[in-house]
Amino acid sequence: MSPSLANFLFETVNFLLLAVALGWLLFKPVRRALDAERERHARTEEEARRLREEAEALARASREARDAAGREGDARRRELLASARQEAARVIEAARVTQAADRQRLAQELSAWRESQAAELSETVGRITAESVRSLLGALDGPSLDLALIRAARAELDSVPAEARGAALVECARPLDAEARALLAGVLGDGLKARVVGELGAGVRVTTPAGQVDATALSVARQAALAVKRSMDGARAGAGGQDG
Amino acid sequence: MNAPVFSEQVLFWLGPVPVTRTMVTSAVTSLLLVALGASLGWAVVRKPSGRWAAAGRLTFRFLQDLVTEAVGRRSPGLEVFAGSLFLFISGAALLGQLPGIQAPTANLAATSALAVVVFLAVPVAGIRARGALGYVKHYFQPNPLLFPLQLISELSRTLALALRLFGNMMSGHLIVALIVALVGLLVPVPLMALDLLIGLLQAYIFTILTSVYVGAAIRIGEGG
Amino acid sequence: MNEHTVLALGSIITAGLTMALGAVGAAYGESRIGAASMEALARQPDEAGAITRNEFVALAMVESTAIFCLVIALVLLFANPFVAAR
Repeated sequence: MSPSLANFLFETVNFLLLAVALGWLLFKPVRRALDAERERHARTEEEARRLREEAEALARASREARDAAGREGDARRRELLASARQEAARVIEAARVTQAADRQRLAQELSAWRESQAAELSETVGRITAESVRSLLGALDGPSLDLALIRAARAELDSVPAEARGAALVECARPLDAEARALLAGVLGDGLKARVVGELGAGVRVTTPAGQVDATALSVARQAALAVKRSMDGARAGAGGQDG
Repeated sequence: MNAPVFSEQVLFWLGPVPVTRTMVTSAVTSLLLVALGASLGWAVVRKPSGRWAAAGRLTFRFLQDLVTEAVGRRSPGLEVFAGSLFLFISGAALLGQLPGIQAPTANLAATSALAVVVFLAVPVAGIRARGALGYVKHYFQPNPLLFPLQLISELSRTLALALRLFGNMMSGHLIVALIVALVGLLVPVPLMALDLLIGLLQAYIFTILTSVYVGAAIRIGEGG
Repeated sequence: MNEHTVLALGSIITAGLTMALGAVGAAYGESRIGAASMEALARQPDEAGAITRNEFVALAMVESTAIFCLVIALVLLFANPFVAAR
């Protein structure tokens, strides 16, 4: 056998044996180990993914719960706020009503007080006026005053129908003198009767069936007081109208 | 100068069978590789966290990636075949760096044996993957006239495989021997480093070409 | 100068020519490969690993033509079937 041929055949067999031995001793166990490792890796990754999904689900759930709790708290807070606002509005309304009532009452009291005061004042003024007029007329006591008053009464008696003048009753503060009697007789006729009433102060008061003609100091004073009172009342009514 | 470039050195005769120097070195290479592979596989199974196991895993992944890249898909049988080729050729190159030892791949008979094994592995893989008819059909595939060309191509590439490996390994040894004979002892050290690089590179190329040839046979009719 | 000497002379000269021409072709091819791979590296530095690996493979493939020439030259020198062994 030639050495080259022997070498060739030996190398062939040698390599085939080497390949078989390496395949059995090296490649197969290493491949199996790597495959097992890869499978383990895949399983671990699967497990990790599952765990991560679970964790994400838990996180989502907790987030939702937190959101719901926040919403509920919000609602309760809003509710409390609304009720507090209502309460406040109610209190304010009540206070306003009370205040308005108070103000109205006060205004009423005030106006009543003002009215009474004004009435009192006008009365006082009227009284003072009447007093002062009477005293003034009293100071002017004398025939001239009597005469003037009688002239005024006569001027007024002119408007009384003539047929009603006959039964007239004449009252005077003092006995009529001739001139006064003549003045009255010119209007009432001659048959007049006079009665003396001292409290009249001065002047005459003629009472006829058609009416009374009063021209006495007392009457003048009363008229003055009445006029003062009326004018004050009118002024007050105007002021009150402006107030109201 | 009488370098043993093409001749066989017969050490002794085992009956009618001559035992050459190359046979001994390749047997030693195979035994060392089997021992290494067995220890690596054992470490990967038994002590998966050790450095030895990491080395085994790295080796396996390197070979697997190499084959997968050349073929385009996972093919465990081809991984074992091509991986063993790579380990054997690189182990032989490393062993050839030892003084007084010539790499078994620096012998034309040895590299021819490897090339012939590859040549035979191609139809075996093709028939296993596609069936005998499907494999034989591809020789006539584009045109039956191309059949002789296909055959010549397969033969020539086998010859190229054998000659490339042999020439690279042998030339390195020859150059180192020449320079040692002409100049001195330490001068060829850079050339030895280059020789080591070339040996590993040739192992890589041989493996890739094997993967491409066998992978082409596996993927016949897939449009690849 | 007998026949043996002529054969030996022709074998030696042819071996040298074979080596020279084969080296020229291989050197040209390898220079092309080197230039192309450098350009590719400059364009895509990220792919340095793949480019270098493929470059080495291509270099070895081209180198093998020179190796074939070397083998033929060595056959001419040491295993010439027409020159009887000394």
